[in-house]
Amino acid sequence: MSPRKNPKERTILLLWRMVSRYPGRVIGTGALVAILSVLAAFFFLDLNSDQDRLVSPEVPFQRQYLSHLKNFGDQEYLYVVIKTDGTRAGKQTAIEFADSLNANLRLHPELIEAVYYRISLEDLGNAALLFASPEEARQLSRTVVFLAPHIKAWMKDPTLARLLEQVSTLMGGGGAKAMDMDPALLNQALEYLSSLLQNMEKALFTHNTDPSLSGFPQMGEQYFFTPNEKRLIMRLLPSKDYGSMDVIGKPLQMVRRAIEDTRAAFPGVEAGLTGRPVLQADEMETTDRDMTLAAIIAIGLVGLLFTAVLHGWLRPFLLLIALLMAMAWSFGFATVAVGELNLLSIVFALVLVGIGVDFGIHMIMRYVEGVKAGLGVDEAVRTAMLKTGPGIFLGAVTSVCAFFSVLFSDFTGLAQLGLIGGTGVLLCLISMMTILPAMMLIAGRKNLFPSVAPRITAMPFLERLSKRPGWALFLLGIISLAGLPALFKVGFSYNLLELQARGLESVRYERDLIEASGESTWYAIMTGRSIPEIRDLSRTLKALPSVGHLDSILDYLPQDPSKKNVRYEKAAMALGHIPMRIQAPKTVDPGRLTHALSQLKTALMELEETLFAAGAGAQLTLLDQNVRAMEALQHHLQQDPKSARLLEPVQKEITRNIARFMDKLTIWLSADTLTVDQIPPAIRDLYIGKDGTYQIKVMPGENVWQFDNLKRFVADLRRVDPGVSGVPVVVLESARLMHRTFLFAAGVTLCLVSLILWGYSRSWRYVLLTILPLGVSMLWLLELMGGMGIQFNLANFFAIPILIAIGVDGGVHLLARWKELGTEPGHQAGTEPIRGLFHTSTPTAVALSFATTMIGFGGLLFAHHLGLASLGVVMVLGSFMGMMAALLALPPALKLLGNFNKRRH
Amino acid sequence: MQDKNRPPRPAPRKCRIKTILLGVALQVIPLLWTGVVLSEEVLDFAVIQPGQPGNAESARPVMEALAAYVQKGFRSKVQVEGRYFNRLDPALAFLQDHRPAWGIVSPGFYVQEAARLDMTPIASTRPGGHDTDVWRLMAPKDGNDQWQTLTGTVSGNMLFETRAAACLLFGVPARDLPFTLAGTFRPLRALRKVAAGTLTGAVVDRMQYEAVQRLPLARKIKVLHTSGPLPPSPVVWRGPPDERTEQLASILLGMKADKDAQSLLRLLQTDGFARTNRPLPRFAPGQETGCFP
Repeated sequence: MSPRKNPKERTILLLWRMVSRYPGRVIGTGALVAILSVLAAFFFLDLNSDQDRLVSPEVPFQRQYLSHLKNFGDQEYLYVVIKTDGTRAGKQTAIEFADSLNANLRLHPELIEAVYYRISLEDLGNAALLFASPEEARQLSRTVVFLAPHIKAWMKDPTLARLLEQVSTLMGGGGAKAMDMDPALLNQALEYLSSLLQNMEKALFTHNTDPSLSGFPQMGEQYFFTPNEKRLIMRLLPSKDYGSMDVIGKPLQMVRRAIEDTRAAFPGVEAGLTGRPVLQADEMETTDRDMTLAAIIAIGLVGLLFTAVLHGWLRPFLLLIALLMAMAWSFGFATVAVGELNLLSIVFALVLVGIGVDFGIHMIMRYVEGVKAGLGVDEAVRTAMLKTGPGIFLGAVTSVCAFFSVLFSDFTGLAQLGLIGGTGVLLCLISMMTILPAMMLIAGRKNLFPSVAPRITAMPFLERLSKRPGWALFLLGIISLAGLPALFKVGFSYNLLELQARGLESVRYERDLIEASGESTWYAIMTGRSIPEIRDLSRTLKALPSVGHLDSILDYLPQDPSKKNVRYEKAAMALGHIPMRIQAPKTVDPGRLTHALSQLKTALMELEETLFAAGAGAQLTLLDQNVRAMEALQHHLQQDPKSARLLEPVQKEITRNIARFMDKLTIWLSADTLTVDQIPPAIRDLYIGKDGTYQIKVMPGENVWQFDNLKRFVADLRRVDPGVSGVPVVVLESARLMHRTFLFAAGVTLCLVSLILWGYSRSWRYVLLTILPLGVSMLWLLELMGGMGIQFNLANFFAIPILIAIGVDGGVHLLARWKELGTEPGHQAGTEPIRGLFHTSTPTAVALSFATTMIGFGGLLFAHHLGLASLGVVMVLGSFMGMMAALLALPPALKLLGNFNKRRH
Repeated sequence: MQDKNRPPRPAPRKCRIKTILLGVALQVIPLLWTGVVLSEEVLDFAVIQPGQPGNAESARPVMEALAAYVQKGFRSKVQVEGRYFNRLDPALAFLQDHRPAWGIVSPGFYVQEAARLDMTPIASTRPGGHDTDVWRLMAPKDGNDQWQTLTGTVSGNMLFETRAAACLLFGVPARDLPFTLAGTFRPLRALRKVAAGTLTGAVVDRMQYEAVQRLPLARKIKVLHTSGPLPPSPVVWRGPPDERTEQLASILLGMKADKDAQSLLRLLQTDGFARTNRPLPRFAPGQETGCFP
């Protein structure tokens, strides 16, 4: 031992003294802190899976977005996409599917707060009819004028029989009049008739009535079809739980189950779920599954590798215990320092496995080398600590640099990962320098390690490669130069949809929505302080080619109501005075009712024939059901005329409902205008913020998952209003921020590492030699990526800072060992060491470190999430190139340097 | 006294204006006349769909709406009037005395009469959004499995043009069929009779077949024979096509994308019009012995 020691060596010596004297106490203290940390984390560490919290609220685009969320509430929907072929029959089936699904969803108001997929006149309040298009208004007033005499006739004799007679008059004549009707109106009329007949059957056969069956169907319903009418869109607002990893896990599960159930009832209908929250939840789920699979593969393969290289299970097991303890402490630190984990910082544990385990490998390999060289247990552990300790320390510090370089990033999620991950690396260093040696001492002293030493502690065969170091370096230089053209093919892809797993329902339906209808579940938000302002804004936006359509309160303010008023006045006049109270007769005449049923049956059969000849199948089922129901009723009344009295409550109910509807119709027809204040609150709250401003939702006209389209869309909108916000803006800016952060982190890490290495050695030659493998490996990685057509993206770019951190590690350890070999007895200062580098355990440890990283991230190659898979590819290639560069480029360079020094001396 | 050597006095001014006016009139009147003729150009049409529901009276609003739409497409330079026929004889009688410029006719009518009436398909309807139609012969579920062994009557609302229907559906002349083909205005009732075993068979088109699948009746009948893909009802032009033909075709083809035309399309029971890419065969005049060459 040298009499003069630097502070680092003195610290390591102190650690050795503590560990060797009190190994049990060291382990006990570590275990106690670990238990306390786990308990603290269990009780106090929160999980925050809110993606909106990943970026600092101080960043302008994020501040704007959060303020919108606060002002207008959460409007991030799940989108149920129901496919239709665009035909009338197809659309009708889609509507039936949507209605049925809605009924299922309504059973769980605690999970789904709102469902938007249609709007009815009822929803629009008293001025509902003013929303009709001019054509609809014309049709509606024509229908009212057409029906008015029938309604009046019925009011004079408000009986069940008269109602059926009037309906048969309407449907009569081969359905000529009915065929004139709008199919939607005919459908509603038939549905109403179906409910009425059902109620009559119920009254006759079960002596019971169901008031809901005598109600009027929702009038004038508009379903939310895409402009090409090939998709029906349902927007669902889920309740969110940010305390759980999946945030919308329960609602999502319920909605998917409900869709499954509905699909079973409509086997021909294709429907699926998408939307940003679903994509995120699916992304979390696939990521989670992929990470679990990767972890299992990694643990299995790394275990096998360790067992093969380190001989037996005990050494890997001790390494694992030390690592677990460091991870437990890291959880404790996260609890105290941050108090929560976010979607990015949650992965710190995995990163620690990749990096922290490397420190232990070097320690154990050196211990094994010592034991193999005939040293006792204590001496072997001491040598391992003192000789590899500085390298491990330096490697840890350089890794910490990679993490801490993002500490002040506006990407809060990444900054937190940097803090927890960086500190975690330091805690791994402490654990590997205290707990692991303490456990090795105890195990060694008790002779628990296998008596046969591991065989693969060195790789002397590689020494031959360094026989002619100049040639070796020349060859590597040629290979590197040959690959240069491929380097320039590597670009950066921002397409987020390309990162998602293929085959996922949410991804499939998002793509479908884009391809089939040009729609997207993303929209930008703009605000205005007054109606005229948003009217102007809307006009400007509609002229932009990148804008699809707009959604604002203006859609609920009738355009040019005066012309419609004229039509409605005419319709109201045709209806004339509607008495407030219509009194139904108390009795039902069975003879008249039977006759009315027979008359209506004939009319319906004629209509059925007409519709069938024309191939109009949509209403045929209803007609057929109605004909059968009438046959059954007719038969029953003929058999038992007295039972007609059971229909008296139905007659009463019908009369009351029609009267109520007529009352409403009169109000609708007489409404002359509509102001914002008169719009129902449920709609108003969607478009008017708490501060009274109005929002316009701007849907893109192009596929904004393509980054160029997204850039154009946001740029266009910013020219109109620089304060535009919404998901497209957040995605664009977050992607740019992430790109900037990673680039900055990579640059800062490189600078910091160089500075630290210089501070450690005070020699630029040392710095250059240490980062030589890193530089070479990065060059090879980029050339390989270019050759293989792999682009950087928002997921795999994360690999670069990690590769910088671990790439330096190899250089540090190899150089430290090279220097150490130069101090061996018999060696002449400044010349090549007597014993070759590959005769020591260090290259094996370096190779093993890179191999564990490769295996650790290699599991991601099988990931379904394409972003994770691409991260796996870059990490595996990068680690492999790191290993190759460390083993092939650095030793010849060191040898060349040694030869040079020798000649100089 | 008058000086004879003096040059003659110019004609009075009034006379010269008259001459100019006459000249102008001679130039302008033919132009005006041409304009009048042009503005009164007639582009009447007939919709001939034997077996389809309704009658000329009930279909009048639809015909008027289509006429107005086409007229608007021609910027009111033509007069358009439409007639609807769902019976063969009145349609043929009408065509003897009138010569509508174009029409929408049933496939059977086209096959049977195209050559005689000089009809050229210029577009095609798209019932239910389909570009092709398929006819199916339906028979009782537990009945014969070979259509060649059927006897009796087979009904369908597209079977009024018997010769054409036999060739389109079975590829053999009607007289070679072991059963009789009969047109009906009640195709659903015919199907019910088939299910009840009181009728040999019924022929349905694609839309009718899809419609019947929704009814319990579907369980009692089966498909015994299916035609090849058939073009749906064509839009035809009578006589040699001219520049108006193309203009008419483009007006009809543009209806699908025109919001104002949607209710009219609904009434016409088509999901727009398409180019004719698979023209129907046609009988040559006097062709009696077989189907198409």
